[in-house]
Amino acid sequence: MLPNGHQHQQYAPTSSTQQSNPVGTMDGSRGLQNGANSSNLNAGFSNISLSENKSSSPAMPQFRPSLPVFRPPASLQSSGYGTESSGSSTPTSTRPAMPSFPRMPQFASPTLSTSASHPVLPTGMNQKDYQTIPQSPLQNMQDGVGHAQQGQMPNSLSHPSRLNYFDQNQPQPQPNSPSSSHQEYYSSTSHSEPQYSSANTMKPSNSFAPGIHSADVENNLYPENSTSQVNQQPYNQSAHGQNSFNQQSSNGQFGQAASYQPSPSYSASNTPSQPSASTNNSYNPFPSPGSNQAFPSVNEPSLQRYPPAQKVTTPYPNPTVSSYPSSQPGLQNGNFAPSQQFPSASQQNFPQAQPGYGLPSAFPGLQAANLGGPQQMSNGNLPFQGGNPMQYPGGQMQGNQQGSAAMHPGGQVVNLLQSRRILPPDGPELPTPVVRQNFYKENCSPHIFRCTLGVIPKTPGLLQKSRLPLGILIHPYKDLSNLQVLSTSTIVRCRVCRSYINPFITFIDQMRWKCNLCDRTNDLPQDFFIDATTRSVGDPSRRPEVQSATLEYIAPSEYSLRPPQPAIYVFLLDISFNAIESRYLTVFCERLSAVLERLPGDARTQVSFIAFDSVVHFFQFETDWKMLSVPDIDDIFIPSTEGILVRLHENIQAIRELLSTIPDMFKGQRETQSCMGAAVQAAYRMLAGTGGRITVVQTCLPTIGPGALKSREDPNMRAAKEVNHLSPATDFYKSLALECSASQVAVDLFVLAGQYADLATISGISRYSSGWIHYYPSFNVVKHSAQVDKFQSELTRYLTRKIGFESVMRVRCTNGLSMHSFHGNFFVRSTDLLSLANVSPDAGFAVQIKMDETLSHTNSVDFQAALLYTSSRGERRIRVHTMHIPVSDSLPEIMASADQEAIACLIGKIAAERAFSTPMSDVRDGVVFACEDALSAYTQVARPSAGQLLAPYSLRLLPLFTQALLKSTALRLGVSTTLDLRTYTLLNLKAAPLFEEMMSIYPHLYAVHRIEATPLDQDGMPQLERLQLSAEYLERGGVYLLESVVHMILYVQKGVSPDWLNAALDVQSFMALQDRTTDIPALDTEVSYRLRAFISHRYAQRPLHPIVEVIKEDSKDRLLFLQYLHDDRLDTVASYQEFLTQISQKIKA
Amino acid sequence: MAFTFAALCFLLAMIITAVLIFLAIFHMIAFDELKTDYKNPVEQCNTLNPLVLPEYGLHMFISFLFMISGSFWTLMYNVPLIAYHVMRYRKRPVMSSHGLYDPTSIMNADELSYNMREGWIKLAFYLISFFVYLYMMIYELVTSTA
Repeated sequence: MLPNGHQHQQYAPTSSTQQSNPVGTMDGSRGLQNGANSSNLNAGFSNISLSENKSSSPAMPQFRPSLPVFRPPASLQSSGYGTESSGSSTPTSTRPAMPSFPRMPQFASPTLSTSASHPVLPTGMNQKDYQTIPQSPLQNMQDGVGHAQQGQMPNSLSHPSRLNYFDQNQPQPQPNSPSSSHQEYYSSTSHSEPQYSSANTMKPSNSFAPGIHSADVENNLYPENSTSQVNQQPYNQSAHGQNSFNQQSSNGQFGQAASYQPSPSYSASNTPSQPSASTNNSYNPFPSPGSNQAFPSVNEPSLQRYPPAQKVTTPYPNPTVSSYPSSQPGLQNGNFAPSQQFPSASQQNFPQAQPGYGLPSAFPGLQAANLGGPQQMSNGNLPFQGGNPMQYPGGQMQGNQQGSAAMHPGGQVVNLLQSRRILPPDGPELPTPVVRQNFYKENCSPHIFRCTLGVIPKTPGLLQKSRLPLGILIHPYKDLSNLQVLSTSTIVRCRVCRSYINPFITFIDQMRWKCNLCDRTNDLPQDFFIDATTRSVGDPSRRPEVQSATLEYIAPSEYSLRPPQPAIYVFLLDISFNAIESRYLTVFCERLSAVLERLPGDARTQVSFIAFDSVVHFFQFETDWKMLSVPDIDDIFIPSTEGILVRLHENIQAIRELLSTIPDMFKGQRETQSCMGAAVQAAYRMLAGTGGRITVVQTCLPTIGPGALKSREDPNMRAAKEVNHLSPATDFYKSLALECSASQVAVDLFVLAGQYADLATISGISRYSSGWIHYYPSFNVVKHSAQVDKFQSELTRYLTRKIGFESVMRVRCTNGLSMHSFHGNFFVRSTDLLSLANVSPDAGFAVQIKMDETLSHTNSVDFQAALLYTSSRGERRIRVHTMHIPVSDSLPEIMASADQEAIACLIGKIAAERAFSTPMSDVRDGVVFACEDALSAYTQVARPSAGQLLAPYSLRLLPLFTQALLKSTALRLGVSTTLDLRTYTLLNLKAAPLFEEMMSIYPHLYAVHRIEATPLDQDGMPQLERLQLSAEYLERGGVYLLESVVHMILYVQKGVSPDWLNAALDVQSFMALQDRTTDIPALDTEVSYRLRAFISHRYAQRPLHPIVEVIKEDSKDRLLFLQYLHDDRLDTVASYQEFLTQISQKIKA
Repeated sequence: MAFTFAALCFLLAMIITAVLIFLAIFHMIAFDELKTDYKNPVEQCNTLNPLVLPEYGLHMFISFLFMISGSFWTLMYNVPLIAYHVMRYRKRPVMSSHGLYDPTSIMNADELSYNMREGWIKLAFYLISFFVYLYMMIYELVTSTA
């Protein structure tokens, strides 16, 4: 054993090419020591600057030196702001413009002039091509680009579908396959769009810009439309074609080179309706004289030059006229005469007859509402009968609404008391983000960014009056299939509020833009005018930055505070008696060994393994591995500076060998103590200089060493009326997490506890270091095979999913609003900055927004979330999401715009947050009040008569969700719930993205016994209807699939048809069916095929993979299923109908 | 006129109250800094937390002085604040060190505004106390006879 003197010894990685950082020193000078770094990082990162600096003043860095974000050198502060561009702009803008459609062979040549200084790197593009670009502004990007070439792919290795897990032998995705790059985790199989197929028919030989690339952001989320962002790329055609293009088309997501031809067929096909241009003027937020006529030169080129078919089909048919305050004559291209009439640009953009997302398909709720009580459509005092210029969520162009305004859901009132079946069969409708001002621009996807209100009240008083919570829910690092990645020399940001340029800014004149968040006027940098495609001085409004609400920048070096860290993973394995009993090591090591090559990272990836019982065991790799045990857990130290944290790819054989040995190594273990605290401390010391990820697998309560805990749970109190011990017993884990967070180390917990492990306390280590908690109650390989499968597949997802290191997220919003509080797993470093040591694609965040003042200066509000992170390939990237929301002073409109899912989730998050500190009954009361408030506020809009409980259509599901939330595992009282399970569900409520949180609030229930007769959607998936969670909808002889966060239950009722059982489960009769079996056989029947396809489709949507378990109606465990029937009365807890009656009485009182 | 023990207590109380005023101002500046992004909450909490108990102790010490000097009206005037301090400290988050402020929750807007408001109220209270003690000291000096 080494003496204690080693404990503060500098930890040096094995390879001399690594920079060696003294443990715990974060003084900022490290960024300058990168000379020894052999990887190609040494060019760009010697100047260190703070990227996410809110203020542009160098005198106000908001980070202290102890946090690893560094003060920007003053010289760099002004470099990117484009202040110098105004003086020299004239030559650029008056440069002879290129013809718009040149067919010039030199575009395919690898040499490009310096004018194309902002290459756009769209999805899947092989960025290697850029290295051939000999342009000066890119020179300091060369290193980053070099990484990018490798970095794109395995970094974003997609999550194989659930079925893949069953098939262990399936070949692993090739790291170089672009088909896996940026593939969206929530993938759907078909992306067929007519627009692309028509593009395919165009001859590539006619392409004038080989790199025109249609990257549709999340088009599969809007299956009926392609949402397209179009970039024209000046890169090397041949290389592009070879490397990525073919594979993209084989991927089915892109067509051929979307070579644009202004073909007549196109224009014919995309102008199905031709309303007069005057209708487009019906709403004009900036009524300047002739505003519509004033900017033909702005919009017209973009319409004609891009493959406009994509533009036509924005998913949100809420067109409004974009009104630029001034014309931009200087930016005109020669072939657009200023006098040219709009060929009705806006209606061309928005054919209202398009089967778009928001129109006919957005009325699923109509059926639901019709099932229920009387429609209030004839209620004369409702202000939604048309005539309101801003019908939510329909657009403002009433002329084009074609009469749908009166039918719009926004105007409907639902009498809840008489609407028995209120849940739409295909789930709650998505909100339709309104973009009022920029008609050709898309708002951020509702899957990424949600606001509880679709229209923001103008005054704080009005918000008070609406009694709705104001907040946003963000899923910033969601896996996206088609993310626009942009590499520019200057990232254009507002010089005052430092927000990024986005689609919702306004151009004041040709050189300036007005920030939409702070209303300051900024200069545009010169190269912003250069159109990458035509290499002409173009129109800034066509830049991808102002076209796409979700965008990823490859950050220049001033966004790096030090050389981007390598991917470093430390695995802490519990080997105490409990752990060995549960035999998780076999599963864990086998899985890890299988996916070792797929761990995100590059050649620098490092791993380390630590095992702990009452002693911490380190594993040292030299030629072989050996174990070093440190019994001094009160004063833990790292026993060797070499060989503990090793490069993965250089030692992969030894690591594999270790992983195959570990499960058997500790057999016969008698040690029941666990010193998890010390082990995490050791891992933290190992990573303190670099940052990384610590994965802790824990199976019992930590009982020894620092952070030792005592059991606090009283099993007799599990069903009590009050819940104690949800607050942590000690702040050891929290303080350690804060230290970790400051060193960019995140800790993820896998708790496989058979007994109480005090998750409430030990989860602190993950909550504040932006980790994640996975919980598997009573995990045992032998006894609970369902848990094992779940653990296996979730572990695989966890190990192979994307990861962002040393990241921060800043949320900005328009002046007048401010951040009130944040929800999720992170550390709040300043009022609007979240410090995320790691960011995972499964992490969601929510922000409560406070309204400080009347929004008199603006008629729209914007939220911008910027996530700065280091990809696993060592690239610094910024992902920017911007959401645009109109402002209104009409209460009915605000109420009608509410997003019930977002509100329910925000209430859930607030409740979860409070549950850790306040008594559970208070928390539950708060949840009920929130619902009551919203509905009672609506009585100001629509006065109910006797026997009515009115809710706007947009909030009709809120009571349903509210009462379900009260009965959820997290907040329920009176039902036996272990403290750990409750803590886990609370944590999940707090940090899950909206989709996952809705699952925990209102689980999905499907009737699968009719799956054979169910119509299929275009992907071949059975379109099963979602049922409300009530026994009312359970038929005798039915089979139901229930999907919640932790369970996936196939509930088989008595009297089920033997044919169905035979076809689906290969069982002859109900009696023969084994209870709690997890075996869904792969039979060659239609029922079995559809059932399995449906289940795997459900898995593909989610990060968590509960395993299907059969529960029979006469099972002793049927409560597992029945506990999820949230609409029904459960013991003393009121049913949904009773809940409604209670609310109704309270509102009347 | 004589310099009684009560007068001495009031004199001491004045001096200590001046210190408390300084502490209250320091708290408010610290929270304002947090609000305006200048400080890292971990560091700010590390600065503020060691000052909490001394402040409470000083305030209880002058109350104790009033008690032994028999100035019960002045003591009554201070009792509500003592009660508040005790209540506040009992409800503090789980912490291994002394103090009240938890860096993970301090950035919550409610928490910030609560602490700011507390700072203002305490500042006003201490200022008023200062002049009350001044008056009481002079009154004591004037009225007492040797």
